[in-house]
Order: sequence, then structure tokens, then C-alpha cells
Amino acid sequence: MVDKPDCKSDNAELHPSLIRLQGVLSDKFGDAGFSVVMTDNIPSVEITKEMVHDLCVFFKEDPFYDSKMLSCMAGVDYVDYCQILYMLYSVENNCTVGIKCNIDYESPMPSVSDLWKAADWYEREIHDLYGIEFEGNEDMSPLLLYDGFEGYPGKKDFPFYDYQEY
Amino acid sequence: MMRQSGNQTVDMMLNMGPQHPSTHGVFRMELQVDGEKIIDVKPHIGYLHRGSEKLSEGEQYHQVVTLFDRMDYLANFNNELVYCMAVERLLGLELSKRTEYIRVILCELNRIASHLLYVGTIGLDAGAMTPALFSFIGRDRIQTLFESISGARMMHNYFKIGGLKQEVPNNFIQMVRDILPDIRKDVDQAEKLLTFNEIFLSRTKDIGLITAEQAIDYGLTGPCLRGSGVRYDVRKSEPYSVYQDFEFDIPIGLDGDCWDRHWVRVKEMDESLKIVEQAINNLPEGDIESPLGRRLIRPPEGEVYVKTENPRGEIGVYLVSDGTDKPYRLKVRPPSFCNLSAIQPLLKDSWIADSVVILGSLDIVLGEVDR
Repeated sequence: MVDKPDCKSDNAELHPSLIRLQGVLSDKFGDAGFSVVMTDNIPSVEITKEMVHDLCVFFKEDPFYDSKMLSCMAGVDYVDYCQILYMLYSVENNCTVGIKCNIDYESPMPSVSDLWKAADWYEREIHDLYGIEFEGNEDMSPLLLYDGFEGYPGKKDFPFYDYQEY
Repeated sequence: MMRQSGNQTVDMMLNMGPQHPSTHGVFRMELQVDGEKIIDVKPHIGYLHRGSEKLSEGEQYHQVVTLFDRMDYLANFNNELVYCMAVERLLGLELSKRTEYIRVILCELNRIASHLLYVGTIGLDAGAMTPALFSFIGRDRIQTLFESISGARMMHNYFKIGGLKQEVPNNFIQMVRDILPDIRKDVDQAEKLLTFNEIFLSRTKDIGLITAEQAIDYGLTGPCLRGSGVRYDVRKSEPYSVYQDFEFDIPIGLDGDCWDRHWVRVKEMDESLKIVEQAINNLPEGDIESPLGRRLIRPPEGEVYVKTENPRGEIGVYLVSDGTDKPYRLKVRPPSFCNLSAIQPLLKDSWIADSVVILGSLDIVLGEVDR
């Protein structure tokens, strides 16, 4: 069993961009339900899935973060739970902000494809590889895999060298 | 799949691909057409899905470089660079200036080679045969140089984590200086044949329009975004490696049509030549060996997100390490994947004949879309 790498230990004192992020989010959402961490050099927020959509709307409309581009969306299998990562980018202000959300595999995630068109294919890819449903995304048909593929190849328990008859 | 619409015409479903020369690989589009007009399109990708991300979780760090070679197989060095940079950031490695300069020279030459191939294929897509023949001469020159450096014309596996696989040949500087005028000539020739050709202009101007807002919304990057007038280039906005040492411009288009995307790529080749010239004139002496030697690489626990500018756009690598000798999770943000996702609004309400040019102007590499 692999533990999730701990990013907090490196940041004994908060990075200035994190302090700003924390302040802005506290004003908007109150203190509960989120924590700020650095992902490498990118200020990020760890939140519950209920807040994902609201937070995305906030980042997209905030003049400082101005996240008009969804740069990357990734799923990471931590065996016990799955982490969905969003990388939001502002072309105008050249500023990146990350969102991390830990979920279990059974419950569906709120889709953000109504905010960014780019999310549509990312979500379908994560659905292919991890089997996570995205509520609100109209088309969840397989993107990278073929219809009828069994299993979720992104997961850690999926074998590396195995094949299925097509 | 036939249905009767109101004005007595019949919509038809037309399959384009997967084995179609103009889809640049194995890619299928389900076109819903009304006569010659495309009213809807459903793209199907995944024919080339090899599970590179999953496979890299089972390989040691230095072995993963080969998988990156095979993602965007037209820009191998650029892909190797982003992966090596991600692992080096995890390790906190400082590279010698010489390593960085050689990497930049090779990446920029590779960008020119990739764009030259693009010029050839967009010519074929628009019905011009000759530019492909000329642009391949230039591409071949660059590949021959790559072969003398790395031993392979494609899939070089030359960048190593922390350095380069081997020192460049003794006459490296002279070799690069020798081919630069030839490449400049090839680029000019390709441009002269194609860019302001009247037939090509009428095939690409005002075709496949996408606005800047729409392009950002779909996550388009690289020449596709710059063609819409957004001056976004990772080399300028967040300079990595030694790109801050060089002077170069970011060409942009005006309207966001196929011709603008073509124009941006042609101008980018000139800028890349400028970078190579500056780098080769200031190539520092030094060591190219990795400070890690031949040891097994075990980065400390942590996660990084690194992005660089590929010929096709912004490529990002999200790498999670758990302290072992294999990556825990490696996610690639492929530029072609996002560029291709905009195919639906681009093709809608265009003609079937234009669909080939529009797809060609996105310059996708299916090996990277599907990974």
C-alpha cells in the first residue's frame, strides 16, 4: 500500500501565493471545507467534491485568477481513493492554480464541462481509465478504449501485460 | 442512419477514416452531411491507444524516455525534454549550461523538422503535391544531423535524466552551421510555393475559423491558439531551460483561420532558426554527463507539473513519485489531444472538401492524441 506523497511538510511557512489564495477563499467560502497546498510551484486547493463546481466558477470569474483555460485534468489512483486534479490557467495573467479533489470510486463527480469545453474529453478519458462517472457530462461513451472494454486500465490493480480478445 | 429533414433533402452519415490518408493517422470521423455540407461531426479516437501512461508506471525512470519518444513521433526531442525536465525538477538537479544549450538546439531543429513536415502535408491536403517533396529535403537534412548525433533518425532516446546520453560529435558546431543556410533555403522555398499561392489562399483563407475565446475554452495551444491572435507561448510566458537567453518573437495570426495557423508555423521556423543560430554561437564548454552517473534514479516523494512548448502546443507532465524507482503516476497533457477536441465546432457547417484542410491545419499527431 502506497501512501500519498506529502507536500505539506516542505512548506513549513506558507508561500506568499498560498497566503493570498487562502485569504481570497476564506472571504468567499468561509473557513471550512478546503485547505491550500503547493503542488510543486503551483498554489492548489484541496476540497471536497461538492465544492468543485462552485470553486471552478469562482476561479473562472475572479479577475486575478481569471482561469479561462483548463490546462490539464488528471486522475490519480491512490488505491483507497482517487484524486482528480485540475490545472487552471489564465492566459491573460499568466497564472496557474490547481484544484485537487479526493473521491471514492463509487460516487459520481460533478462535471465542469459546462465551464470549459476542454473538460469534455478529459472527463471521458478519466472515465475510461478510472471508471469515475461525471454528472452533467452528456456524452460519456468510451474515448480512448473501445466499446465493451472490461476493467479500468488506469487503476493500480489492472495488470500491465495482459490482453483481451476484441 | 438516414433521416428525412424538413426541406426534402436527406442527411447522410459519412465515415471518414480510420484508414484515410488525410486523417494523418488512424482517426475516424462520423460526418453527418446534408449534400456537401457537414451538419455534425463525431470524432472517434483511441485506435492508437497503447497505454503509455500506464506502461510508464511499470518502467524505471530512465526507461520511460523511450515511451515519450513514441508519443509525438515527429517531435521526439521536445517530448524527451519535458519528461527529463519533470524528473530533474523532482530530483532538484542543476544541469550544466552546455547540456541545456545542446538540448535547446536539438529541440528547435526538431521544431523546424516537424513544421516542415506540416508544410508538406497541408500542401497535400490542399491538393499541392510539390511542397511535400521540397519540405522533405529540409527535413531529411535535419534528420541526418540527428542521426550523426544520437544514432537514430527518429526515436532518438538521446536526452538522459540529468544530461545527455553521449557527447556530441567534435564537428557538431560546424555541422549545425553548415545546414542552417540550407534549411533557411528550404523553408523559404516551401513558403514561396505555398503560402501566397492563390489556390492555397482560396482553400485556406476564412476556412475553419475559431475565435480566441473559443480556442482558449477548448484548451487549444501552440500555433492553433496563436493563429487566433493570442500571444501565448510557454517559452516566453514561463521560460524554461535556457530560453530566456535568446531573442525571438512569437508570431501570431489575425483571424484564426487555416491560413493564419499555417502562417504562424511558417514564421515560427524563422524564429527557431534564430534561436539555433544564437545558441550555436554561444555554445559553452562543459560537461554533458549526468551528475547521477549510472545510478538507479529514485526521486524523493513529491509531485511536479512541468510544461514546455511542443511544435504542436503546450505539453504538460504531471509526475507523482512515491520514492521508488518507478513513477507512481505519470499524466501527460498532450497538445494534439486538446487541439483535436475542437474539431467539432471547426467542421460544423463547413464543406466536406474543406474538412481535410481544417484537420490538416490542426497538425495533429495521433500517437500523442491516443498515447
